[in-house]
Amino acid sequence: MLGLGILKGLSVTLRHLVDTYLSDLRRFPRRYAPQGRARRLHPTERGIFTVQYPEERLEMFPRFRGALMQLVNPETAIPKCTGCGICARSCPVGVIEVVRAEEKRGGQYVPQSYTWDLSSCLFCGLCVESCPFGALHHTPEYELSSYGRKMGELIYDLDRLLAWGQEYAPDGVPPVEKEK
Amino acid sequence: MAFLNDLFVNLSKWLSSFLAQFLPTWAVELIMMLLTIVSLIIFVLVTIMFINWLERKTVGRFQDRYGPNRVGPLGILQFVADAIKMFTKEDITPANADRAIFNLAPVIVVVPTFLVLAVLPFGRGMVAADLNIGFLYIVAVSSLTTIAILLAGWGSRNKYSLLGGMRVVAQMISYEVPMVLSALGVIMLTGSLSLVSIVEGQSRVPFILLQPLGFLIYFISAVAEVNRAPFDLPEAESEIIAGYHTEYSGMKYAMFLLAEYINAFIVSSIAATLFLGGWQGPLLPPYLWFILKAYGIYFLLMWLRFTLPRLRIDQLMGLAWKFLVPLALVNLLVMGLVMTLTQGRGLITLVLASLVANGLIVAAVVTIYGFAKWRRKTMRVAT
Amino acid sequence: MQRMETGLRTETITVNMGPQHPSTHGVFRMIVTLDGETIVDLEPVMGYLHRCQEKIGERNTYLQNIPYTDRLDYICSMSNNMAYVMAVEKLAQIEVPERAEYIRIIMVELTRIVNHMLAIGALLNDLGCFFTPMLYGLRERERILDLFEMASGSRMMCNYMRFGGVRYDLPPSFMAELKSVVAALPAFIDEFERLLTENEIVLVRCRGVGVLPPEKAIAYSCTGPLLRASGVDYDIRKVDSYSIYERFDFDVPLGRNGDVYDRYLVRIGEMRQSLRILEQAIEGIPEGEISVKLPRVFKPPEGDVYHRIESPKGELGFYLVSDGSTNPYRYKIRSPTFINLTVLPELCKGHKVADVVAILGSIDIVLGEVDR
Repeated sequence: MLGLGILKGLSVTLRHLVDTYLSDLRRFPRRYAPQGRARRLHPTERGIFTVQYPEERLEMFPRFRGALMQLVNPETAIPKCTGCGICARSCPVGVIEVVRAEEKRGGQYVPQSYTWDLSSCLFCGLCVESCPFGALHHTPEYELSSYGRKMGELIYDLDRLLAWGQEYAPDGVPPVEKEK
Repeated sequence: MAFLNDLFVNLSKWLSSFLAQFLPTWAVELIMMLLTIVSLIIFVLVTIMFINWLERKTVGRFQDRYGPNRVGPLGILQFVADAIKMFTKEDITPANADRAIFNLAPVIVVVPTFLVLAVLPFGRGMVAADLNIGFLYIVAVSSLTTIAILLAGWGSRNKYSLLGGMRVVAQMISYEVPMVLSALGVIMLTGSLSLVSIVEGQSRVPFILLQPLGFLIYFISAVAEVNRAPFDLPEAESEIIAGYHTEYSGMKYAMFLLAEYINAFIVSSIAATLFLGGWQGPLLPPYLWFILKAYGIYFLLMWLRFTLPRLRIDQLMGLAWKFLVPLALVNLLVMGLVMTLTQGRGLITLVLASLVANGLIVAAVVTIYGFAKWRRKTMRVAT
Repeated sequence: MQRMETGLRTETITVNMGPQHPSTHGVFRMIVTLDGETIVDLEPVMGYLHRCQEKIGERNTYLQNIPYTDRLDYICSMSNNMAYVMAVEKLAQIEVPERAEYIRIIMVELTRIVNHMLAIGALLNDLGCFFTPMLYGLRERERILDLFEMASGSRMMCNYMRFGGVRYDLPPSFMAELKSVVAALPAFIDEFERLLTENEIVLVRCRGVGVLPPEKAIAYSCTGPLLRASGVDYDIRKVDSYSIYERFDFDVPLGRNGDVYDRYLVRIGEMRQSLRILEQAIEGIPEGEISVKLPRVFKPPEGDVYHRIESPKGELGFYLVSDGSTNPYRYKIRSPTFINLTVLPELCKGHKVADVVAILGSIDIVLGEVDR
């Protein structure tokens, strides 16, 4: 009625403005989160909400569906993947191509080649869900841009995926199972 | 302290006496005038840089984020990046456009802002030209912006730019009436149009205490004059139909933006001069007080811009003619009455009487509004 | 605006509010015929985002279609998932365990809150608020998206529901986080209302604009908040109840006039009712199984099924025809916003140009769903 509604709205925005300065004071003199690990504000906290990427990054949850990785059997150091191709068949788009090798290695089948095309991948996780050997998993990697689209840039082969497997699950246990 | 207070005045006095030693008087005056003009232009350019930065940081803070903070410490050089972008953009002129008018419009739109600066008192004794018709000069000169916008709309040879331009003209002309009427109240109090004497007349009490309603009306009209939210229909109308500056790109567009920001600052400094006491203030040097007050009112402008949605053109015009003009006239009448009745009875009586009078006007408006609403409600129930 | 009969020959102008919009709705084109300021006719042109989802649905298996349903109405991916998954469950007569039903309801109601926040923010952005209410809404939306990421692995394209349940069980920290979010949301909705509901400018721009009478709404098959703002009490969760919605106690907010302001109020009311449902679901969620074991190669029996849910935008329906093989024979999506858009010319006639954007914002379209 006659400007009161406008005044109420103005008070709401002013409160947000003041809260951002108060939150800055609370963080003073640190500008960025320690070790670059930002966290989302609690629902009752007010203040600056944005995360200053790339100086600080949010932690990804264990189930985050990032880039793929291939795991290695910790005892025998042979990839768990047997080249069966179930992941390739379950992909809605068809970004995985698997060729099974003729000879077995250590008593199990291994893939001769395994390529994953990042540029068309939906990151839906149906391939991970369908792998019967538990070889394929997600990593928290999301900074995947490159300068080209060829092999090594946006098409990953088995070695790259195994390297990620070493990095994120050195003991053969993927992050998604560690959270339990 | 006194040295700091009169810093610029002493500087100019020293300079003119230094130059008078080896130059004839007319040359000294010419050089001093040129220096004043150059320093005013530099002030405007520094202001635009600061205002651009301030606006973007403040909008970020209102929205729970930092503003730009990548380019330079605290994002200070963001304006430089924007200026470089504006300079390097292609300057497109539509094929059918009226060239002379099309190119002239951005130039003319900036000119009134610089002209108004000539009569603003930045501090004690720091005014470029102490005209005794100061406020009349301001009103006359700021009407030139209207012509410039019409030229922009016409020169683009675009039906919708013309439409947008004509709407802007309608808006600006309509809102000049309440602006002048509300400032008339202040002029009645001092009896002079000169801005310097208006500021000096506020040495004991700022006029906002005597005319709060006048300040409100002046503020709303000023916001509409400079096309800022919630009255920024000309710019944001480019959602739908092109506004008056759509066909412009590059430096010419930057001129329109510059004019808009500087106009907003000028209008807030005029409000500070008329109602808040200009450069008067206890501890700090006068020019610092002026800057603080002008930016204080500019903060109000920013606050409104980032909170309120915009009005439609017919609602805008309805607000001006059906609400602000009658209110300003009533304000004028009541203030005149109050001033005549409390003549010679001291300042405090005047302050109290004007506050009571303003309260009565507000109460009357609220009553009329409530009565109208009640009548509408009962009529609807009855039918 | 009255036009004087002066005998002058006047013409109408055609303005193209082209596919590239400054507003946030996507690639949508409107051909508006103006007479001075007033709109005489409006023709919406859609199809700029057509991605052949229905044809792709015939090529995919039933399971592979689920990520594609995420991308229909890309803001409410959980609701789309649920509609499709429930349609297939109806076809194949699969029973869903109780804990999975509760989890699904929690996710869908959170999606409703997310969608309405974004819808109101976008509406106000079009009205001219320069992003401030939208960013406040997005701030709360971030917390809910974090919940989605915690549970399913992805913020927007969740791909979480499966036939017979959900993909994963809720992680251990989910319930605590959900409780804190649900506890803090009423304060946020109150703040939102304080910013907007009594704002005179919002009132003056939105009242009486785009009035949709209830008979016309029913005649045009409008559903969702558009229908309920006109006063028609039709919410599929109450009328044709699915899943376990009968166990929850909630109201259906209705509008009175059917203008833009009422749609805004209906959305705010629905957010509050979703919070009620969420609180009840949090209290009542049982332990148990979260999905049903299905054969690796899933072949539902022959037949056809149509299942609909109350998605945040209206009635989202899936019509599936199965011929007994692994792929659907026909996969049809009834998208609510596509059908709601047919009423746009009716709503806009007689209004000024500046109202078109407000009306479009109040219908709340997402082009992914309109064009599929």
